[in-house]
Amino acid sequence: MPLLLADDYYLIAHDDVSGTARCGEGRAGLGLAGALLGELVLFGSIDIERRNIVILDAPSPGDALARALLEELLRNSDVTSVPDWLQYLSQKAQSQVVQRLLHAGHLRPTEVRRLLQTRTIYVPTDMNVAAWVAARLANALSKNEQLPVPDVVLSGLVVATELELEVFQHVASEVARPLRRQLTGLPPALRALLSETEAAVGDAVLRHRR
Amino acid sequence: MHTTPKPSKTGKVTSVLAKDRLGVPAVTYFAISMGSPFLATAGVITSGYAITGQVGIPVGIVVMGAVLALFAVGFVTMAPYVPNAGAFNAYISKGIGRPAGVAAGWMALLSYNAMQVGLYGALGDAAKPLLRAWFGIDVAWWVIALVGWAIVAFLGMQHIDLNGKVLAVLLAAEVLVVLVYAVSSLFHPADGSVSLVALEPSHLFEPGVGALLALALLAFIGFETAVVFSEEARSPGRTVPVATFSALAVMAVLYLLASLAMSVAAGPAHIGDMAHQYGSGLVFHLAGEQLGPAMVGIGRFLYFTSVLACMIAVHNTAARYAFAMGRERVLPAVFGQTSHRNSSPKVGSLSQSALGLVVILVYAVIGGDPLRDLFYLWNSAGALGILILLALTSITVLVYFARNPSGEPVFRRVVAPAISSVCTVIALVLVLVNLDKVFDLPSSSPVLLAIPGAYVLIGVFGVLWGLHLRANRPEIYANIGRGAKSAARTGLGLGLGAPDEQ
Repeated sequence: MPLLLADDYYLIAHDDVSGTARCGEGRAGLGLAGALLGELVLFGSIDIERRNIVILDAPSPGDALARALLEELLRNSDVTSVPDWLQYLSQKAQSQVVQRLLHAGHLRPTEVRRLLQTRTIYVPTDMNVAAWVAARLANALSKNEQLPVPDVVLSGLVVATELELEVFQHVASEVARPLRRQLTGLPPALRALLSETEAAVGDAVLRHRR
Repeated sequence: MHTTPKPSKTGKVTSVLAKDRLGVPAVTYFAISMGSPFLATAGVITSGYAITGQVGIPVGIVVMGAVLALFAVGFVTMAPYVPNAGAFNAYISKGIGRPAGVAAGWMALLSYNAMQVGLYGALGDAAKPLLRAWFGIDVAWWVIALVGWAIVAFLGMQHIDLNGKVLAVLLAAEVLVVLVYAVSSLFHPADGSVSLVALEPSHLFEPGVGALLALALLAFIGFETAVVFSEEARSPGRTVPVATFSALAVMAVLYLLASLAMSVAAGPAHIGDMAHQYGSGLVFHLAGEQLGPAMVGIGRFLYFTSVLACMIAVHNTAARYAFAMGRERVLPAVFGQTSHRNSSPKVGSLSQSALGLVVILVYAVIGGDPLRDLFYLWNSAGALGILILLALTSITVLVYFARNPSGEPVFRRVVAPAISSVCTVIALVLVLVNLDKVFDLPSSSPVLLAIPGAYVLIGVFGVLWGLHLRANRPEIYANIGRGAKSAARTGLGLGLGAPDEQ
């Protein structure tokens, strides 16, 4: 069974040895938040109109985390703005996605000793799975093949969180143009989600740290 | 701390998001801290007395405070309609047009960079006497400037703003000490009786009034940063306006008292000569005579921290301008990249630091007084750019609300911006007419042409570049003024509606 969007994003956005985010925790959090909302769009559960989330009347998503998120959206119907949800989800998306990947057996906890303290990091159980996600995107794009919609969204999240060099490596500049064309061909809700994620990454830089 | 009453029914998401929002006090602290009360008092006002040779500084402060208050009315009214409300160019793009927005963005970058560079001189000036008093050592100003440069460069790359609580404590102390100095000076008039000559409105009609206005504006700079927090404010319609006007009011009262007190204690007839003789030391000289060495020590320390806080704030402002324009692709895309480690606007920060280093080294080699030749000249040059932007932004508010009907009251969208447009343009003309006095240079100096010339040149070039983008790169043109909301990396654009509809 193929991985869900946020699982794929987690694997390519995190170092497979150290388990840390390749683009910083804050930005990976926004990428994961975008991916989780993207799953709901792909499940047909939500739409995005004029920067707001609209909940659609559709069958329940087939994944527990997606269902829980949808219920949370329903419970908090006073907040519909996509930037607000990205901001909110970015703070907890990582642990949620880690739990899902642990449960599916794609990650395993490892204890590492740093100076005096021991902490738990999560590394892929099979490095090939993680490497394959990135290779799959880079291969298809460099051959100018049409990616399936979830993979276009995944590539869009890579661009929005500035991970091109880490994921596409030496073909990064080569794939930029074909990728852009595929992104433009996405349905409006997914395009909106990607640009909101990119804007949230930029806004985090313009925000003052406290 | 200020707390807003919680609405009766809010979900969990609302309350989690609310924790990250800023209230009025925090936004006000940020705005005033960039204004740096002690720097304005010891650095700007004394330099003003010394350089302009005029007694009317307090009148200049009252007038400029009033003009800026009028300006702020339209400025905060339009803020919710602007996608990147922290930046003058975002306003101007929406009101006057995108080519003017490109020009304004480049001018703002130039202005804030000039100010930041000048501040290294002020830091040297502020720390030198402190080091002498504490350790008995004499250190060249540029050595101190280099240390300050390293601190700011490091913090800029770490994406660190001074902590709100630290700022609050420092600011409270600064304001208190400036007040104590001022009140004490008012009770120690030079010739035994308090002379209010400095407050006479007739100073507005003396030759060189432009210099008074430029100087007063320099003292107030920072008030414009409150709008940066539009999207982070707890109550967007209220927090930013209240914070902007509070910051202006605090600064106006403080600077009026401080400048008046200085003229009273030194005597209106001698203030110019004394300011010339003592430089920024004038306030401390007066305080020393009246209050003793302990109060001087405290003041000198706060002067130093004030400059440092201001440097960090201006550095980050300049770096964020560069970042936002990089995101729009109005500057090379590399400026819009973020550091992977900590989401700092790294290229903007690095290039700002590089420029600062070059200027410190050049001034160290050619010599010159750090306060007058570096701080005052470069900051006045920056203030000139900000004044141009204030005038353009006032006009923008008028144009925007004329084209886009809204429910805003007439005073906020027409009356105040109209008066502010007239006043800022008059101030700009006066400053340009008196430029030799503003910069304290002989009227034959080529710098008098070079500085406004640089703004004109960059303005013209910016407009041309904007027109070029309109003709050849419509996708970039559409993003001008949107800052981080450009979504130029994915090239997908944000659902902001038609360009002028949002």
